[in-house]
Amino acid sequence: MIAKLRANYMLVNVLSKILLALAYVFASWKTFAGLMTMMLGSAAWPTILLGCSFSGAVMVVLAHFLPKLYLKFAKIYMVPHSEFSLLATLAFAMYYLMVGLLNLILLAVPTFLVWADALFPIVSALVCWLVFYSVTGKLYFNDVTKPYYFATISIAVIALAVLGGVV
Amino acid sequence: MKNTFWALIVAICLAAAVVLVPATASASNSILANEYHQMLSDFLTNCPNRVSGTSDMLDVADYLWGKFNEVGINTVRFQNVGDSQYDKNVIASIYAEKEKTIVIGAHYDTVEAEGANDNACGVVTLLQIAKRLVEQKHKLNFNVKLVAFAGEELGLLGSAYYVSQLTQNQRDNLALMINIDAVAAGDNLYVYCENKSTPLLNELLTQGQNQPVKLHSKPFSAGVYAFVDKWGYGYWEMAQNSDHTPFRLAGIPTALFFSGNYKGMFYGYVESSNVQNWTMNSAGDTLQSLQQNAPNFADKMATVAQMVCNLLTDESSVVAIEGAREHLTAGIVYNNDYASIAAFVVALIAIVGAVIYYKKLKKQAFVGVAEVKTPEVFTSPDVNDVFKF
Repeated sequence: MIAKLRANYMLVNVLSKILLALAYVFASWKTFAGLMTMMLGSAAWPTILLGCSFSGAVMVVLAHFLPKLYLKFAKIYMVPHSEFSLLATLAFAMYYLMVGLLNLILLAVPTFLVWADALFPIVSALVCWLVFYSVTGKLYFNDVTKPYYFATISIAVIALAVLGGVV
Repeated sequence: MKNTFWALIVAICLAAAVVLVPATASASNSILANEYHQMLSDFLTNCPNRVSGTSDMLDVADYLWGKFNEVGINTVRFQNVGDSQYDKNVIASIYAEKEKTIVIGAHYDTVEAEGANDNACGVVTLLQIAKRLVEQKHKLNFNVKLVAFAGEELGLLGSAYYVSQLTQNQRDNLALMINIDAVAAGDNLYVYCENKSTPLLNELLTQGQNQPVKLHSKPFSAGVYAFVDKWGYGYWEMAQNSDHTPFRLAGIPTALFFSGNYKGMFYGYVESSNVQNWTMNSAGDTLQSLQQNAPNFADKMATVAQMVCNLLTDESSVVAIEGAREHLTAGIVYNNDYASIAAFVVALIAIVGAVIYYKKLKKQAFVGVAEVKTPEVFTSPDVNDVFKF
C-alpha cells in the first residue's frame, strides 16, 4: 500500500492536501464554532463546517506555497521544490491532527482549556518541526549543508509561529 | 375509647396542617408575585424608553433615584458614564460598617423595545433587594452597593466605566459582584460563577434548593470556548457578555443570575423551549409576552431577590464569599499567567536546544568526522531515501 503510494506522486500530492484540509477542520472546528456564536449568536454544524473547510482550503494553498517561498528566500536550490512542498504539507497535516487529538482532552476536562490553549500548539509544533527537519535533513542535506538548513528552517518555523500567533 | 378520641384529634390536626401550610405558603408566594408584577408594570409605565444615549435615560435615572429613596436609601449618587450627557449609573449605598463590599448590579437600559425581560425585571429585582436589605441592615455581613448600570446594550459601557473608576483599595475590598440580567423569560433559572464549581457556587445552589423556582448551575459548554480572558474563562461564551464581565476581568469574583435553557454541552443554549419566549433584544420583549409565555416570571425574580438577600445576611456564606477571589485568580488550573509562563519555558528550552544542536552540527561540518551518507557532497540525495515518483 505504502509502496504503491510512494510510486504515485500525483496521488500522494492530492491525498496529502485532502489530509491537510481534514486535519485543519478537525483541529479548528471549536474555534470556528466560537466565532460563529460570537458573530451570529448561534452556531449550526453546516455553517461551522463550511467556515472550517474554506479556511482549510486557504491553508492548503499556503502549505503549498510557503515551503517554496522558504526555499527561495533561503537560496536552497538543490532541493526538489514540489517534493519538499509535499513533505511540508504532510508536516502541517500532522500538526493539525495532533492539535485536534489533544483538543479532544478538553471534552472530558473543559477546565484544562487555559493550559491546552497555551501548550498544545507549541508542543505539536515542536514535534512536527523535529520530524520534518529529520526527514528532509536526511533526504536532501549532508553534514556540510545541514547547519545552514537547520538554522534557516528554524528561523522560518519561529517566524511562522509568531505570525500565526499574532494573526 | 379515650385514646381513640385523642388519636382522631391529632390526625385531624395533622391533616389540617398538611392542607393549610402549603396553601398559606402558596398565598404568600402569590402576594409576593403580585408585588413584583405591580413593580414591573409601574417601572415599564413610568420608564417606557430606556435606550442608552437618549435623553430619556435621564428620566429613568431620576425614577430609580426616587425608588431607592423610597425604600429608605438616602446615599444615592449618579455617575456619568464617561463623556455621555445622558447615560448615568445610579449607585445606592448601604453602609453596614464592614470591611468588605458587595456590588449588586442590573442594567436599566434596553434596545428599541419594552425590555421587560432584558432588563426591567432585573431592575425591579434590584429594587426589591434594596428594600429588603434596608430592613435587614443590622444582619448584613458586607457593605452593599446597588448599581443600576446604563449603556450595557452598547457594550457594557456603564459597568466598564464603573470598574475603571474604582481605586485599587476599592477593588481590593470588593468581595463580589452579583449581576442580575434577564431572569424572567427563560425556562430555567441559572447562576454562573466563572464556569466552575466553587464554594460560592455550591453555597448558592444549596440555598437555591428551597426557593419557589429551583436554581441551576450553568452547565459547561465546552464548544463555545473560542477565546479565553485573563483568568482563563471563555470570554465570548453564552451568558458571559453582561455587566459582570468588566468586574471579572479586574479580578473581582462574580455571580450572574439569568434565565434560559441549556439543552446540552455543545451550543445547546436557547432562551426557552417555547419559541414565543425568544424575545431577547427584540420588540417581542414585553410584559404581555411574559404574562402569556412565562407565567412564573415573578417567582423567578422573587427567587433571585431571596437568594441575594440570604447570601448577604447569612453568616455561613461569609467564608464562601471571601474565598471567591482566591478561586478566581490564584488557581493554577485557571490562571492564564501560569500556562503562558509554562509555554514560554517550553519555547525557551526548545530554542536553547536548537542552539546547542546547531553548534554541534557546525562542529561536525567543520571537523568532518560525522558519517556522510553519500560519498559526494552537494549532489542528489540517496536514491533509496527519496520518493520514487
